[in-house]
Amino acid sequence: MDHFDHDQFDHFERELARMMRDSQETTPFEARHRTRLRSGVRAGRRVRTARKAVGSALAVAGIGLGFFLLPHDRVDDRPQAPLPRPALSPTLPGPTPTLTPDTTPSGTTSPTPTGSTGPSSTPTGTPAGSSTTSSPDPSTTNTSPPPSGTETTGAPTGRSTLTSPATSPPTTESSATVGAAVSG
Amino acid sequence: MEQSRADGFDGFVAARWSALFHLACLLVGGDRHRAEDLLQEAMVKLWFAWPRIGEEAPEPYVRRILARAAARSARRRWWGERPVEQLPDRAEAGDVSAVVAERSRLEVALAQLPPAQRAAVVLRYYQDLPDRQVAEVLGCPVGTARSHASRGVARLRRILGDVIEPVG
Repeated sequence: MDHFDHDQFDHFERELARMMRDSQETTPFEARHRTRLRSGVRAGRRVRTARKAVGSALAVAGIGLGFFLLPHDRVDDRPQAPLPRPALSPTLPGPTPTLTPDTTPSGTTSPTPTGSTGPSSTPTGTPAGSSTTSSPDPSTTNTSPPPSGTETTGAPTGRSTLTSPATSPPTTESSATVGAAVSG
Repeated sequence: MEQSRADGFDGFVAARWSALFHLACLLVGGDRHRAEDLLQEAMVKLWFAWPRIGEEAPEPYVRRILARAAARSARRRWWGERPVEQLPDRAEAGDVSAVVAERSRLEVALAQLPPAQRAAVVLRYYQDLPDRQVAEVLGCPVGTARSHASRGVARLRRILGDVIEPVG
């Protein structure tokens, strides 16, 4: 411990330090002090024990409340399996629909290799096909020659071509003009 | 284990009780009952901390508890300190009561200081601690501890100026 250098003190400070030291009385550690100290230690133990008990009870209550507030049904939180991909048959030789001049104008939908795009593309393509161009084969309105999926394109497109003229008459003009322009 | 702890603690308390009680008296401005209460509280805390610090430095631990508790209890309630206009008469040289009278003057003067200044003065001049350790004990910056000590001494200089005569 580094103490002060008393040479730095002036006269008053030295006298003050001396007064503080000289005024010390001899106060022995008596029996009453010891008794009081032990009772204080016992009280401190009780306080610490009570504090620990309260702390433990609060901790247990907090953990229980946390578990109670947690959602019980955790099914939605499970990781889902990957979405099923469309089945592809890469090398199935089959009769691919040939493109007719009538279908190409309505084929604003570019041919896509996936067979699942057939039904989705037919609503836009079929008005042109059904509009006075008289495409006899409804499957040709699909306009998509997918390497596979030829088995799936026929039925949906057939239905859509039957319903599309009634549902979308405004597009018939544009498709008709385009079809005429291409055919001409 | 418990017995050795009790033996070491009891030995320390018996050996240092008188000095620590005097320190507590100075820290509270001379109130012996309050000083005893503070020292008892500090010793109870020391008992529970004895396994950690009993072999190292129990006295600085008690000193820190006393100084901080004195300042805290002084802020908490009023302990009946009253400033006085005139200090008690000076004792004649050789008088048996000279020591008692001087102690009384010192305690009355210390009682007029704010608690933080009083603690800084006592730690610096009675415990011979430098400013850095005074700051550590009080839990304040060094500049603050130095300011407390210098202001306290300046105030004591005015109070005790007629008691401690200047040299020359």
